[in-house]
Amino acid sequence: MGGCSRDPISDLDLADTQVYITNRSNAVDFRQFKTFSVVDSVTLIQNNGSGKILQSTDKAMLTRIIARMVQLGYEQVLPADNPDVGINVTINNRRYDYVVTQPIGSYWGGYYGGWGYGYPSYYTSYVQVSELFWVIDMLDFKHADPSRKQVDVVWNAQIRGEGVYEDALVNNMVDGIFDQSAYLRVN
Amino acid sequence: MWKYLSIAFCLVLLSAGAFGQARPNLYSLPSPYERYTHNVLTLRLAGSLPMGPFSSGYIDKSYIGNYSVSMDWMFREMPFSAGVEIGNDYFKKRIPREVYSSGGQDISAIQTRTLNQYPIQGVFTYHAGPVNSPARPYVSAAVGGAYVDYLNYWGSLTDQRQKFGLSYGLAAGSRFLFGKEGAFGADVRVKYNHTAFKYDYVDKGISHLNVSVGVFYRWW
Repeated sequence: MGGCSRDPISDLDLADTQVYITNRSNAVDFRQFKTFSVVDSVTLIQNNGSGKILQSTDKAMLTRIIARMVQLGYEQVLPADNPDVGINVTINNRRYDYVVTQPIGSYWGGYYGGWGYGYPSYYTSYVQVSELFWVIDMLDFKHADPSRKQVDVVWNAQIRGEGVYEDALVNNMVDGIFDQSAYLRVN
Repeated sequence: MWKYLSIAFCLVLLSAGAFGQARPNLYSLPSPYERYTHNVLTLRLAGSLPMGPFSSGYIDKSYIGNYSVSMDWMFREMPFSAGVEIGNDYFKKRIPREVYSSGGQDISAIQTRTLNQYPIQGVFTYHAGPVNSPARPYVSAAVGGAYVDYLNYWGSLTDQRQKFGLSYGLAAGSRFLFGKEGAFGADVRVKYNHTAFKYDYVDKGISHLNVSVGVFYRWW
């Protein structure tokens, strides 16, 4: 009966604890994009810095994202072939992440060195004390603005909750973020 | 003849004197519960039914297992009592996975909505009928505050707000004595309670109907 000892979510399995958050730019018609490219590794961001990571879970994540994009009708090209959009995948492993910023890996820096990324202010996020979570960003290279030196993030997905680094749950997670983003289509 | 009459007279006087000196008859006195302001301690176990905007906007599921403890002072020769009641009201509802959309944002999650409040209220009660009647109905009004813990789980993520709010209640019930002039009894009550609170899904406070059964102990 006491309030202190209750754990109302103890019955949830790992997949049930997961939260799929997607943000889209309201100013963009996604049908204008035809080609895409995906980073070749995942950026791991931790308290003490960031690096590249490509373990089986990361491979599964990238593979499923490519599969879903192709299924939607987008054509995969090499990063050097001027894709309309670039997809960046980050896994955050942080503690005391009170202000959740949404860092973007340095992969695209090779093409847009020194550029900032434009996040609309309504891409709200959640505050967590300690959490491992995925951030997937779609960058609009088609409208890269040389005068502002900025690439806009037109789509942002966050996968949060428990078990987000379980191989067996990756397809389900990726399907979750794509299924709720029906505006991602080529025609 | 006069001798016999004087003896009889003396006997009458003696007996009258004897009657005059008799100790008060305890069984004809009102009980201490009638003569004194006395204390009543009540423990209640309740089922709570959400009402109004709280029910339609956040949790509409009732919860059995809430409780309260109250201490009342029954005023001497008056049908009133005043007291203090503290308790716990808990509510919970699970919502299957759903996509919540707002502006350019979509969130897919299983929500586990909970609300936990600890009211502490001053209670003023009117009691109908004699103090020692087997069943004694009452109506009461309560006002005070409640510590509210709003905790909505989005999957395993939490959205929490804790706040102290004004809380009031109106109740009707009855007490049932175990045995004539006994110290123990049962209590049955229906109480409407409202706590001022505003956060996210709860925009017009927390209203609920509390149906309780309890036991009480009284002493002086």
